[in-house]
Amino acid sequence: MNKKDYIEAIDEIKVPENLKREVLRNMDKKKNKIALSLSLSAACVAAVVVGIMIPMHFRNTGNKIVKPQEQDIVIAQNLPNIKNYKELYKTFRKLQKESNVGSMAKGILSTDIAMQESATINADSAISAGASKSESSSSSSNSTSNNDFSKTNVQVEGVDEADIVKTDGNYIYYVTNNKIVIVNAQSKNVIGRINFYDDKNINEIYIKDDKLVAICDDYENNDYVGTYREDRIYYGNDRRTVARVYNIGNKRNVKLEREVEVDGYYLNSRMIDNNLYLVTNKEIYSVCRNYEIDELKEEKLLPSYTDSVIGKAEKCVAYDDIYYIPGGESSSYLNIASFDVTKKESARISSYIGAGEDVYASENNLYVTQTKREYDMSIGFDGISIFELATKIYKFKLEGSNVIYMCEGEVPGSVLNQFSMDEKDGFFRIATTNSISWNDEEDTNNLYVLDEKLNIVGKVENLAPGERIYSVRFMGKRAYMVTFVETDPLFVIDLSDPTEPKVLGELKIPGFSNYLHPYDDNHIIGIGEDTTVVDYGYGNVVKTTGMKMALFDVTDPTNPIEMYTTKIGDSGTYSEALDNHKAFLFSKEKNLLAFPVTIRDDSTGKYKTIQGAIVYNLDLENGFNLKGLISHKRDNVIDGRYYDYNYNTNVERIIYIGDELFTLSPEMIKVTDLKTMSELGDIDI
Amino acid sequence: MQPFLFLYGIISIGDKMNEKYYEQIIEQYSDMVYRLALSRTRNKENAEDVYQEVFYRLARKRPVFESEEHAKAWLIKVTINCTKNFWNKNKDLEELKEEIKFETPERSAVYYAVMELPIKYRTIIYLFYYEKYKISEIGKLLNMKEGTVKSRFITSERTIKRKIKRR
Repeated sequence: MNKKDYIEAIDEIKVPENLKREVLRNMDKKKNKIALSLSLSAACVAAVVVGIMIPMHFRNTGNKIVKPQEQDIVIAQNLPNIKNYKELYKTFRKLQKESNVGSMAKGILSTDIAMQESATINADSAISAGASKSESSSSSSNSTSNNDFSKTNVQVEGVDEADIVKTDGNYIYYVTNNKIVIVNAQSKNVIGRINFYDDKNINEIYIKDDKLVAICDDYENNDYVGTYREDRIYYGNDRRTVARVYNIGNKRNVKLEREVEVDGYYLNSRMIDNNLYLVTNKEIYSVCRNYEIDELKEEKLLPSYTDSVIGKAEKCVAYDDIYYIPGGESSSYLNIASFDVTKKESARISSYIGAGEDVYASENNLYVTQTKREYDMSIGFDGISIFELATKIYKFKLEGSNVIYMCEGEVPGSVLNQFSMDEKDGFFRIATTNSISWNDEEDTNNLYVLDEKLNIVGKVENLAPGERIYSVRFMGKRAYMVTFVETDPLFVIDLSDPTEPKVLGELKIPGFSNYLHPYDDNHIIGIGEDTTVVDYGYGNVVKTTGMKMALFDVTDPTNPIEMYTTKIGDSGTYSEALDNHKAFLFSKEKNLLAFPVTIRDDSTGKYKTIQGAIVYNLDLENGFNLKGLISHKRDNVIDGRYYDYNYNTNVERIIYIGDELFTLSPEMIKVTDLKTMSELGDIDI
Repeated sequence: MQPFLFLYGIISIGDKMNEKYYEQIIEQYSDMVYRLALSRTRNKENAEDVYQEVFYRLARKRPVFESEEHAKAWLIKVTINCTKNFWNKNKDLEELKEEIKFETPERSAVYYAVMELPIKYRTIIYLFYYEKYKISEIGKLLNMKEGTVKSRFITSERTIKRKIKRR
């Protein structure tokens, strides 16, 4: 059995003739229509972000990051600067020769998207009849008490992360179908929309006081050298990331105040106070390997940006701001742009030759990681491969709107996501899984503690051999790690002495947690999947049998206990909260836990699926108490279709304001009373 | 292989390509779009919906391609966009209906082993082995870094190897 069989199998698959004929017929019908520019729905976005970010809400656990007591002894190391074009060319040439990148000079163009004018902003009149009040922030509508609304579930308090929904308690801002809708949470009306047309695709937003920051993707028309098409040289991916700052002081008259566009695709961002930090990756194709220095254009090799504060012209990042990270292996730039959204100071942009994957930020520092891999190139279904050797960590200090490179470090293994990292008292903690060969029985898991200069000062290694990390949570002096192959050990690791991390206790249970969330200092919520081990006659196979939630009691760290547990659905049940912490809503004060879920119900012998927001009460006395499932399907028909996924009625997020729960799906927001779970109304958006 | 008119710099009147041009594209790439949609959705019914949606978008947008590679890449990207929601997080063996019967058991074993992989992984396998794209090219199609494609590719191989042994 080999790849020849796979190819022959695919050869046997052909599109049904009648389908093809129908498509040809439709093409004919459209003969007389004028080509309009495509209006992309949000589902159409080619924005598959590589660095997966799973920020988490970190409320009121008393674990605020403490600033280092002593004077900051770390001095920024001098990274080699790129001095001029010749040096730039040589650097890339070396990188490109060393990696086995295929020749992509005559590359693939990205999706054809017509450039339109900048976004226009529509203000809709209120949907309900009634006097239209002025929707400025000084309006005297009853605002809810200041803090009684949910915020994005971020990993570090004080460090905001972008999401598709934000609220300030009075208004809800929701990204849906390539626009932002502004909803008055009291009157339950849509009072404004910010549309993004074909030129930009909106990803996620921040709000801070009267500013809304929208992070979008943009596509450039690729420029080329030469007059004939065959001579076109594609220097790199043509994606750009755009940060737009809108003034939302008057909701009916939202104004675009500033636009900063940076070369590269969007990796991640953070916002601390009024400062936005944007991280992008711009890949450079192997042009330096395939062409001589005088055949290329200097400005096409440099990362570029625009900043409306300076003007409309596109600028190249200055050589003073381009650095080379020694030992870097990627033929790409990591671009970091930062600016204060309330000021008219120009944005600072620096570029580092290298690339990034995961991003973690504390209030003081930004860490970007990259996995170093090695492979055996003799591949095929019968080949043996070696991979995932180490993770490089780059540390940047955040000082207001300034981002300063500090140092780099390296640890064995690779990280799962941003929750694999944490900073406390100046120490950087990181959990990794090390796979050194094709045989996963040799996988091991580790936790490293690094000092301010990113030197390893403490470690615990070789945990749970044969398993991989599924979730990690750092809580002050302890770390909780879930690994899994057939059963799930939950490890409690003590970090009170940074030089001597030690495993205090372990709990083995079936299933695994994908995400851990602190309930309080002694209890942790785990959400994940339940599993069972089945023998099909050719060895043990692990089957997932639905979702599972658990409350772990870690009061005695040497003896963690699964205090309460509850199951959701059958095999096939899934929630975005399993790999995106922003979809997870928890409030201890409100005794509320909620997340969107697609439940597969197998109990009647026929597959049934239902999607919606599942809501629980959770407390220490009673455990999990299911309050209900809020579905946005209008006709309440449960379809028996195989794993149906109806995009437009899928609940994506849940937020609360006061005692009202808002569930959000791309075309509707539903309001439910938090206490009685009775429906209060729908808002069409 | 039918030549594409535009390769020779011929563009039809008024900046609009005529139907013949798009019909050629449909003929040439129908199977590819269907196969990719099937790999992504793992279900014939959904694959057919996606197939129609992709060519519907072609009909509406009427893009002018600069090369065959461009046309193919465009179709692949649109197919991937349309199938982004057919995300299957679950590795449950029972869920996949073995709807297609192949001529040999080896083909069946390898095809379904690939189908059991998570969506991004099986997309990479399809594009690499069947459409013969290089790893770096796949990275550009899927907006993934080359290193990610490589490691996912290798993980896929390892998993397929194990699965084939078990079948």
